[in-house]
Amino acid sequence: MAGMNLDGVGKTYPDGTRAVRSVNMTVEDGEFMVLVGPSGCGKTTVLRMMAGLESVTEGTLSIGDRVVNGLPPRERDIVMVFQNYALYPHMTVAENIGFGLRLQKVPKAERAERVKEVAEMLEIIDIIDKKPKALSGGQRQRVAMGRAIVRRPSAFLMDEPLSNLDAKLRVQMRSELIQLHSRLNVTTVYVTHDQVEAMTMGDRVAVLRSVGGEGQRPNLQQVGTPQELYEQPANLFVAGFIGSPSMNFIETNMETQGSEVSFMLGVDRVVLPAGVVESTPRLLNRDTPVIVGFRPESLSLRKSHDHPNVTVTGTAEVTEYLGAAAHITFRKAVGIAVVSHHTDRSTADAERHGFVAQVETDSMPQTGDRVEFFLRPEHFHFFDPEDGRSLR
Amino acid sequence: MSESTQISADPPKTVTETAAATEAQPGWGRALFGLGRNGGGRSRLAHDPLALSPRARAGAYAVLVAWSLIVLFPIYWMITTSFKTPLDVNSGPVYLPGVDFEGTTEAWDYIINEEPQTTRAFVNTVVVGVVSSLLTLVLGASASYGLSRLEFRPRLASVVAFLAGIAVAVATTIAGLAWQMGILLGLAFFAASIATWARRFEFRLSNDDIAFWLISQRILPPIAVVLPLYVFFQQLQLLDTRTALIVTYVGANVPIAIWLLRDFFAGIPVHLEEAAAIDGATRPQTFWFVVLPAAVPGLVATFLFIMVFAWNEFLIASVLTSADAQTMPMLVVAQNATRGPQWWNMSVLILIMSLPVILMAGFLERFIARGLLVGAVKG
Repeated sequence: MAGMNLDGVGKTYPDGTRAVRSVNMTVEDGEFMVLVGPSGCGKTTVLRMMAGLESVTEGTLSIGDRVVNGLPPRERDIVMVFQNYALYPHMTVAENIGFGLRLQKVPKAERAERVKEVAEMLEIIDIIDKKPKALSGGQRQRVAMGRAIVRRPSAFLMDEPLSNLDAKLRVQMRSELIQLHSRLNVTTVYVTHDQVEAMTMGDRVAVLRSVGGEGQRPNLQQVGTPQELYEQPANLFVAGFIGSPSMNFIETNMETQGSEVSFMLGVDRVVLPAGVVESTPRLLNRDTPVIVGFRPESLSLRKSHDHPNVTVTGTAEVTEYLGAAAHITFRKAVGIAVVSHHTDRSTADAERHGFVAQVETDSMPQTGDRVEFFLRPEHFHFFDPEDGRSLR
Repeated sequence: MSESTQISADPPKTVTETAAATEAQPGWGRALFGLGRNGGGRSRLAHDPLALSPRARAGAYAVLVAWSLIVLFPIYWMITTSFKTPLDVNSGPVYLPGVDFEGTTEAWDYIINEEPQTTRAFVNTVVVGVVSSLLTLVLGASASYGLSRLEFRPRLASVVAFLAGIAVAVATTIAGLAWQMGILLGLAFFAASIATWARRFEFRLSNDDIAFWLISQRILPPIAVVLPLYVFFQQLQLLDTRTALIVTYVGANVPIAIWLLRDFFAGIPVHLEEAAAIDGATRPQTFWFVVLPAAVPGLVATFLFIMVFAWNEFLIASVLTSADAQTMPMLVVAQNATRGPQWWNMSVLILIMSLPVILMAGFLERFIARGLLVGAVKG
């Protein structure tokens, strides 16, 4: 059992390409930490550095209280589950699981005992004599897990272990992994690009982003509990990445007249209640541009009677019925800038998508309808357009 | 695969995927080799778009049967010849034993019981073939694994300096220095070169250059190297020994083995080796426990290929051996000596030397079965 500490960890490849810059992060003992981010954000590289499959070119990486920078994987007391499982094709399931123990020279009887125990735990005991090619995707995934568990390591590293499973199996394995973690309570670092996995599985989640064209940007955007990431995103990137559909953004100006702080949301003027201004004092001294964000699920077709409401109007362009809810893509009557920088989304992409609302299905508007949405002003997020940071 | 592909530059298509693709599209394989397998409406598809019409199937069988006759007839001819008397062989073509001619085991009896060299030549062929092929496989597998997994970037200038060092050693030795001194001088020249002028040339060779250089060793026709080889082994006093043949065959076959095995090792997913590293294996353990077993089909195919080469080799053996180390091909040719070609004896000898290879190919064929890597990665 051990935690993990990354201090200014970076990675530059021999050809000069930079993949990782100054990652500072602590994984607590027994914690389930998820690294999440889009393709190319460096999350797998960070994991592979933890595993010892990639060299660390800057900073220090420690597991427990040992600096492991130069140590090969076998001296780190960690295991890794690969995205494509990487089972040894010429070995049976039992041999696959027991290979690590065999290399550790664990006596044969004990080895068989431990393999059996793990196979029973993962319910793969009846396929233990088969070879990987005879197994289904889900079974292979379990064997890969078994190979990790049987070693009783101080940390698990998992590289998108569920991404090759079909959707139904993925959900099932997800909850099994959560149960497994609460049973074994071993430090786990889990890489995924799927934010649903990140939010549901992680004790804490680290959001990563690519180092950018010049390689100047640190990868790590925010580390926090899923709730923190959702409710208090540190910057535009995290705000845009966490949550599905993505947060809506507009660029506008804060206007202060006396004690009244307001901004234009297209043709609608939004006056912020005193409470919101108090919790975001930095809004007060601004007659300058600001980026306002609101989540699709904050919008409603019904007016709330207990809270002050802000009205947003627009024309429904696409309506998607999802069963429990509906997604409505709409455009504002007066054109407004849709933010694309700081979120790594292309401008064209952002403009094409317009705004999205996730609403109740009982009074769904039709395409082309003019729609009024209501939301509570405390659900607005405010960001600095210069550096993309949250103004909270 | 998200960014791992981009960063670690995995080969875009693994053997697994290729094999899976082949399995998924059995069109060619079925059309060419497995005509009967799909017949009689046993296909799972109601209408198999690749199924042949009865007429096309009959045509295909006709072609195949005709071709088999062409291929098999010489073998039949040889077998019958081995049971003929000299008179039957020389008096014109006869085909059917018991009808055209009376079978006799005279030739077999002569070769096995009277010809004193048969046993020795057979043992020589087996020893030379097996030992040289195994050595080739060990060297070739190591080299091709290195070429597929490690990046070599030698400076061209260093290679030139090394060759120049050899030239210096040879020249000084010829000029009268003791050969030990010559080698020392050559090494000194090489060391001095890479420390000085050779550093100034940045041009570097890559793994592909090395691989091409290796295979280029086979471009020279063997006849061109036979005489130097003769002189070489004469100086070493190794003429007419199995050692000379083994050394030569290993040298000749290693480039082919490397070339054949290189793609095979490249096709083994790097993730397997990483998994082994995570499981606690050292590099040699990874190679031994994970890479080699996964490469068995390639190793077996390569072994058969180079083994057949060494088994049948004639030109080099004819120059390097005279009596003790003679192999079977020598003995076959020896049957065409003073009394003219002894076709019946030759047939017997060729059958004797072919049989082990045919048996071995049949036994090893199951290891060459494709798709051994299926199940390693993904699903």
